[in-house]
Amino acid sequence: MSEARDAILASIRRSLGRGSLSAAEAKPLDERLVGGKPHIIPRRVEDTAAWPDLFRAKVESIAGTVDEVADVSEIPAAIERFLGRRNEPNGVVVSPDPVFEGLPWGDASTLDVCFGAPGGKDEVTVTKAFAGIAETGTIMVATGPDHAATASFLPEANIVVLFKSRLVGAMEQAWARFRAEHGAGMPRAVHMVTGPSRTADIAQQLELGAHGPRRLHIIIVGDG
Amino acid sequence: MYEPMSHAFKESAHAALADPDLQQAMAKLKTGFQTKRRVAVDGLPEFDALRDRAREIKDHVFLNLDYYLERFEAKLTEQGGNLHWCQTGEDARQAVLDICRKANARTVTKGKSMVAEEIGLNDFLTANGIEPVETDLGEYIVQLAEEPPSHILAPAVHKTQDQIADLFLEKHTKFGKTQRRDNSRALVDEARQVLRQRFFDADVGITGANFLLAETGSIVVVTNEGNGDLTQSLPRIHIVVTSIEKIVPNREDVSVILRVLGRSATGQEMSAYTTFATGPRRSDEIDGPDEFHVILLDNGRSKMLEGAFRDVLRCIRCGACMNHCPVYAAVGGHTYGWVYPGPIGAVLTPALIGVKEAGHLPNATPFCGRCEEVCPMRIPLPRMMREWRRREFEGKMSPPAVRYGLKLWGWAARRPAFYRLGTGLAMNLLGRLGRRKGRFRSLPLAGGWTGGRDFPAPEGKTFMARWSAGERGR
Ligand code: SF4
Repeated sequence: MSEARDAILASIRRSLGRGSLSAAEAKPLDERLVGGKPHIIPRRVEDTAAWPDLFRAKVESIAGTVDEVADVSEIPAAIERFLGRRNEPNGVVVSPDPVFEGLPWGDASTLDVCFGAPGGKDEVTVTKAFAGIAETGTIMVATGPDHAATASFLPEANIVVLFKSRLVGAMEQAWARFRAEHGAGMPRAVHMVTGPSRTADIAQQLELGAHGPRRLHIIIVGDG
Repeated sequence: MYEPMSHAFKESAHAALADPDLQQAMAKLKTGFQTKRRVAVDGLPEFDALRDRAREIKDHVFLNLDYYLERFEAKLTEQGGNLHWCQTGEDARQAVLDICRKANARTVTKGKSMVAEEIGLNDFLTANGIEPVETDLGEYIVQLAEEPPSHILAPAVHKTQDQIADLFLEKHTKFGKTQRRDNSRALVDEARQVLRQRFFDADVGITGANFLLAETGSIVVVTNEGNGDLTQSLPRIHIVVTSIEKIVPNREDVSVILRVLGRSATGQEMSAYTTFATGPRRSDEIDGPDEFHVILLDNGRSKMLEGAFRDVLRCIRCGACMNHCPVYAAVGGHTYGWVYPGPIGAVLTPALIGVKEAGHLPNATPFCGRCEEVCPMRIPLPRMMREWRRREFEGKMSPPAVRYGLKLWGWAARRPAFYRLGTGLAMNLLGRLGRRKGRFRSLPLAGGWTGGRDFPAPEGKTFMARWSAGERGR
């Protein structure tokens, strides 16, 4: 294997007509590797006050739905509202996140709540967003002890809770925040989710829910 | 199945033009892809500036590719992943097989990967007793039909709904699905049900990667269905099959390219799922694979860095060039005879499998310039096609292939039926011969892109100028 490695690197250098880079030559590259310097941020996110409206409009334009509550304690009722309205079965698999574990689920009598990762037959999951990106109506989620990747992909409906304070304008701002909280490393997976699962592979007709959720519902939680 | 058939472009084109199902399917390219891209591009004033920056980023990477690959390797290893350097397709296939064998794998699920197609991975695994299951709906359809993909994003774009309904009825009976579905919703649901169990049964999941991030050692996968993420999250082992040119330095750099990718591909501002996967499951995580392998393929790319064809390595496989190509729209992807169809295929295929097999593909163009106009990475595709042709005529190509190319022109010019079909291909050939001026109207088989407007006979600049004025992408 290391033979192939050497051969490929040598072939690259041969094509570029040089040897391997000196430490001095590599220095600006080392600096670039750290990241953190955005290139071009679309003007549409300049007005921070407009982020909530932009986010909602973008999510709705790609067949997602948005609800808003003032406080975390209202989350179970908001979930009931969403599921009840559409006659969905009421079993929900909730990410084992401390924020969720402390909620007044007992008040939500139509929900059958369990915490953990979903299986192949679970129809509804509730997950927490690391960030919301107003530019494109994108949700960013990260795997960890409190979030399973499959929670975003296995169910028919994924309900994502986004704290308003975690709404940013552009992707780069979400990454800046990510670096601030996670350092330079990455968890196993970071997903940027933009609307429900979709396919146009049957005669170019758009259908939602190809393998992932057919419905993506975002509950924005206010700061107070 | 992936024996190159590029040398047979002429015969295949003829068959494609006479195939009513194919023509029905391809007529939708305009509404399906072109209009959506246009709307998305018009909605982002910074689009052109982002394209320029995207090009700069990749050009910078290529000048320092050895450095970035080494950094990527270091980061990936730090996170518990394994990198397998592979010079040839054969090495890459073998590396995948070795991992599968060691795990006693019997079935593998697959997300869409053009590099896996390039190395003929499915056939190789099957021959070695391992069943690959494609999970991207389009890939799944062509796998059931035992055909290669005809488009790099929409592998089954050449198939009508009726054909897919028949295919599912035939192949899904064994899963208890005995009713023929007559709408796309029901067909999608049926595939979802059939494939769901396969995700759970698979021992290994194989995906491609759109980007490799040197900053973090992550692989970035962009999809719409969610199959790619089930493929990498559920099995015990995740193998990424990718190639050396996909490196991007950091997360800000990839953000630039993501903004042009989705819009160019499907007219989406962002595809539904953009996943940054980094190593195997951490000890405190709830799910994810125990092993994470990246198969890093060269297959001639390091050589392409050298000169005339370096620019094509910027390609992010968005498909815009084929979605806007009159020849592709007329003859479909299979006619190109190998993995990469359309303008990108015409440039890349001769570089990867040799001019002998594919050297005449660059002749299948009217040089209308549309592909270059829409290419988000500003790859000068027509210039490169000219370069391939120049090489032919300078005699760098094998004599039979050169003769073949000349024969193809003569063949088209002599056949009035071919001319009457009014394909982009025929127009291109006639246009190149310089014997026609004026306009073609109502081209029956290219209705998807002429769309009821007069179509100018190809005459170099004028033709390009018309496209630029009337139909210009940014
Ligand atoms: S050549 Fe350009 S337009 Fe064609 S697939 Fe590659 S990036 Fe897209």
